[in-house]
Amino acid sequence: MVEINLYPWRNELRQYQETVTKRLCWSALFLAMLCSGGIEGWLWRQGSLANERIMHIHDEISQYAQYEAHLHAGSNQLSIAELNERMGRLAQTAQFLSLLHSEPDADLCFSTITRKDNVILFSGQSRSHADLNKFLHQWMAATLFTDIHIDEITEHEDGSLHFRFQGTENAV
Amino acid sequence: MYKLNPFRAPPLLGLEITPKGAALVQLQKTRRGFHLLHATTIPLPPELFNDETAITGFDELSTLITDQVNRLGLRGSPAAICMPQRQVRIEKYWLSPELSDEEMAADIEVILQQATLPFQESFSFDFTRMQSKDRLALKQEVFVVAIKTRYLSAIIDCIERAGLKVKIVEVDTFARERAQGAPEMAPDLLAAYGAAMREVPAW
Repeated sequence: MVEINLYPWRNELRQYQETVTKRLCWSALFLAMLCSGGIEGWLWRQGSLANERIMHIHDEISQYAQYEAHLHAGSNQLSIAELNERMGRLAQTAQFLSLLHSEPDADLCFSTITRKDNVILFSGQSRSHADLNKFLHQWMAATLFTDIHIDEITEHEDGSLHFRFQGTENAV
Repeated sequence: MYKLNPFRAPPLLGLEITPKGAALVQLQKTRRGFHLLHATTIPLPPELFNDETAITGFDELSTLITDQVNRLGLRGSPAAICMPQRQVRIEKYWLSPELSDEEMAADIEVILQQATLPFQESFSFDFTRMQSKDRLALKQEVFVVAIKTRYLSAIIDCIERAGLKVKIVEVDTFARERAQGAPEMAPDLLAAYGAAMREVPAW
């Protein structure tokens, strides 16, 4: 079958192909610019997010540094004061135990000795009031306390006493 | 159906203009074949043609076709025009098979102009290379159909003023040959039917 077209179709076809080529080129250019713009926008957004994160991290670091400096300074002061106090307490306790040990003639015995802050509670038993008074007057360890306060004295049927008193330690 | 899809080109309109009338056929291609959308003949007064059946009254012809195109709602449709065989020159040349299409077109143009010396009439033409069994042949048979550019331009201008877009201009004998076997088609519509069977060019 002969397919003849006397219309100047070659010129039309060439023009059509040129038009299509131009459209494709412009479309490709537009698409490339669109993609480029999209990628640039996305990167800019990611960059700004990263900057925000960096700023936040810097803030956190500076806050942490300030906190650490404050904590370090505070902990040093506390530890020195506490150490001094504890050293004083230890020295007092050692002296107190030494004095307790150096009084073998006492006619009473302590059943419990407990500490509450700078107050030491004593409880024990003696044969009589006279023995307890004598001990308290002669007790060498009494110099370690600012004051001694008798809380309770209970007398048993056999004349023996159950006592409880407390002594406030001297300031360190 | 094509009007539902604005991106789909309307089907081709076959048009044959003879003193008997302007035959107008439009087909819709389907999977099974073709569906006939329009088939009509516009009566034409004999004064529009000269003794050699060439068109002379282009303005009146354009008016008549415009009325029918508007009535059928075919404005903007692509058209394939059938030219009577007596209005065209059909030649066979023997040219080098190594020539490109552009080179061959240039050679044919020179040959056609030399044939009309001393007037050097300009021709619109198309050609097709005939298949040769001998691959080593030095010459290739080329089938050439030509028409005077002045006459063709007048016809194209006339049809386009009527609201149609001319895409194809072919010879009525080839169109009739293509339309052989068209079911129940009147003989005066056969060439237009065959022209409408061609594919719509992309351009």
